[in-house]
Amino acid sequence: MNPYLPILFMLVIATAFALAAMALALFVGRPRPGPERKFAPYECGIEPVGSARDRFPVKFYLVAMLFILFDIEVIFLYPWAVVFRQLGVFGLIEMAIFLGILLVGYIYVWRVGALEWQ
Amino acid sequence: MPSVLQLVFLFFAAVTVVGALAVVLVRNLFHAALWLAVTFLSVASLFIVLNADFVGLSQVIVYVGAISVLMLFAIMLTEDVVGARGLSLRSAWPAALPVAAGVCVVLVRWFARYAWLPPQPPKPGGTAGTIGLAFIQKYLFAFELASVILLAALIGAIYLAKEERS
Amino acid sequence: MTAPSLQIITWNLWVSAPVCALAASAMVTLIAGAFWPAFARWLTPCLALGGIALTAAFTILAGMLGLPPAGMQVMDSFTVVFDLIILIAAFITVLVSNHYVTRENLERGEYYALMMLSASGAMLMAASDNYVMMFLGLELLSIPLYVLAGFSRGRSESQESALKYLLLGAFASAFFVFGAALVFSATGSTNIVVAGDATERALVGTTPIYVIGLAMILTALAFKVALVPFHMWTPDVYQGAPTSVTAFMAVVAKAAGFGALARVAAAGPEGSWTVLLWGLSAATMIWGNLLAISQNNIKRLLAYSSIAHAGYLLMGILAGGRAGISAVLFYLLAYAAMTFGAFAAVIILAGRGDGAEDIEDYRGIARRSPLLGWTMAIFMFSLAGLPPFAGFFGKLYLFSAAVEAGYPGLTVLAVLTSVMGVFYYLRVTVVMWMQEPEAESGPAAQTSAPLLSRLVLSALAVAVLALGIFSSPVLRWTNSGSAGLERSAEAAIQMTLPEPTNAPAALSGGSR
Repeated sequence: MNPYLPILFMLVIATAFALAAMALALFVGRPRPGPERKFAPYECGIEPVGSARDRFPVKFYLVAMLFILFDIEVIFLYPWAVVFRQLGVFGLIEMAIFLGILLVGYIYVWRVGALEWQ
Repeated sequence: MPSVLQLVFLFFAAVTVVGALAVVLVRNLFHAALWLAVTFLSVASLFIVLNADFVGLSQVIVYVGAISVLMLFAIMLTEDVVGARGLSLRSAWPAALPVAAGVCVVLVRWFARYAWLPPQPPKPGGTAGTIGLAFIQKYLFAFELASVILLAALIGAIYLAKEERS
Repeated sequence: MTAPSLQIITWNLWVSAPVCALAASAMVTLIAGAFWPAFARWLTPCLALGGIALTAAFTILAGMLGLPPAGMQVMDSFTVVFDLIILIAAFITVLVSNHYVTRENLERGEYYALMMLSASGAMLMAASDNYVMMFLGLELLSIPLYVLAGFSRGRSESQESALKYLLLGAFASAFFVFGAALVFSATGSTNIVVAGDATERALVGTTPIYVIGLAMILTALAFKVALVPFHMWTPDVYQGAPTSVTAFMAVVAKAAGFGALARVAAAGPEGSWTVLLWGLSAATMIWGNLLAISQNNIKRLLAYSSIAHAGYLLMGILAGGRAGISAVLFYLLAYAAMTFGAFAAVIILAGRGDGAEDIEDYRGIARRSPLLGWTMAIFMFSLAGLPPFAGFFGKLYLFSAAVEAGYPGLTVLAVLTSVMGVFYYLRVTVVMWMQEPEAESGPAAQTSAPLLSRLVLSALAVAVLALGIFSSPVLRWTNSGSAGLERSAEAAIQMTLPEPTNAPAALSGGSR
């Protein structure tokens, strides 16, 4: 039996539960408010100004790219962390070098001001 | 009678194909990017079904978590693309379909006829631990090198995208 | 199954010492440039030169130790010769770049850091005995190059160049990975020699999956070295990139691709492989020379010329053996000297903002500046393959290796296309020496340059001449490199024979 099968069952149950709840509301619930309310991002609260799908400043892009690079780094940490005890001191040193190289990149990023929001 | 796992595999394979088709057929570029995330997610599920849990996890963390987000960002950064229409491949259907079908037939036929390596029994505790151990043996230097490649990409991303500080 | 033995760590450290030294120097250069931008003008190139010299010392030292393969790399004499060629090229790039980056306001630590990282990727590609390591080298070579191509952020041509190179290069990398995956599934190994050998031992001929995988790897490498029909990106990328980066790309990226091809070829893939190489080589020589004739932009002309030279170089890979690979190494050295020389002259002539890049702009330049006229003539004669320059002897060795290996037809073709090459190379010289400068139309070519640029230009011209006249000692050196390549391939097969792999089991029935 695949150990991930329970997760699949959970996904199926979650989907079924959501569908069931919606179906129940259809029959038991009271009449809904008009579509202009339903399609608003927040049904109650501050009125939205303009569309959410708007252009972003390029600064967001820079942050997103930094995120991806450090995200990929996390991928390398994961298998190391799983067998951390088996790898011992040698593994620790190796990972320190790995992170040290990326630390150089981090210092560079910080130094040229890519982390500042201006 | 297929087993449960085979059914699960077939389900996610179908989702992958539908998602991939939607990516190229949907007219709204923003929706296409969302469909791409669906495709990535079901590919990750396929990896997990095939006992490649580490690859599946990387797929979720990097592709679903980061690449899709970056794509959505890139679309939203670009003028006149957010609601852009008419960018889909629909007009190229007559040319694209035979090519895609031909490649598919050739690949499937070739790969089905071929005697592949016998499948290894799944390791208890997943593949991540095995990969972690390989990092300090055969792939010691390759592991550190990955960090250098990431550094190069980091420098490039910052240099090209950062506004000049005046 | 915990920490590897101390011995293995030591081997690993020494085998990868040159690459580590270069990458570490790149990091120092980067940080220095970021912390003291005011001194970037002179500090970062000095650090880069120092780092490259240090790396060369490490390379020679590691080569003398006679190390076994470790960490998916081989430190044989081929690696040493090849690494030194790459390091010489990187050294010249820093010197040639100086004038250009100062003029175009690009003097930043990132420039030299990326250039050094790219060079370390090139060194890895030639040193790897494993497709995994070769792929990492390919990426380390390419990613900084994509950025360097777009380093002039203000110029749209540079941006276009970077985008084109990135999109097509990423596609080529994908081909490489897919090909390596297929080779692995067909043979059960990612080791280049073992994978090549496993198919021979199976005695069922080469399996289709292995052949497809190898063809995909060849496609990716052919893209990197710009072989026809994978050359389409070359003129646009070469034209748009900053000229000093173009020079680096034309020499180092090409050399790296040929280093990797030599490693793959040494594993002895027979049959369809030679047919493919023959066809690629012939197409590249014909098409590259043909299209170069009609170019008016000097950078595009040199781009097509670099394509044509890739065709000649591929003949050496096809011929293989000691003579073939040795000729490739010699030619790479000669090609580096004359290409850097030509680009160094183009950098000076173009003037601020790369205004004068058409050949017509060079009318009568030789009279205004005899130095530029003479050196450019030497580089063009050498590129055309006229004696007594380095290009002639490079071609001579390549062609004789091809004839000895049994490819007389291809050699005849190479000689004929070389004659075509003489036309467009001489045209540049004729324009510079024999035509009158036109009365103030278009941007005028510049002739003034700082002392360093003039010194580098003269030194490269002398090198082109010296490589021609004293070609036999250099050839002995490159011979030692090709001998090392052969020895490592034999050793890798010997080492794998007793080791039980699951490859034969997979191959017992090539097709069901």
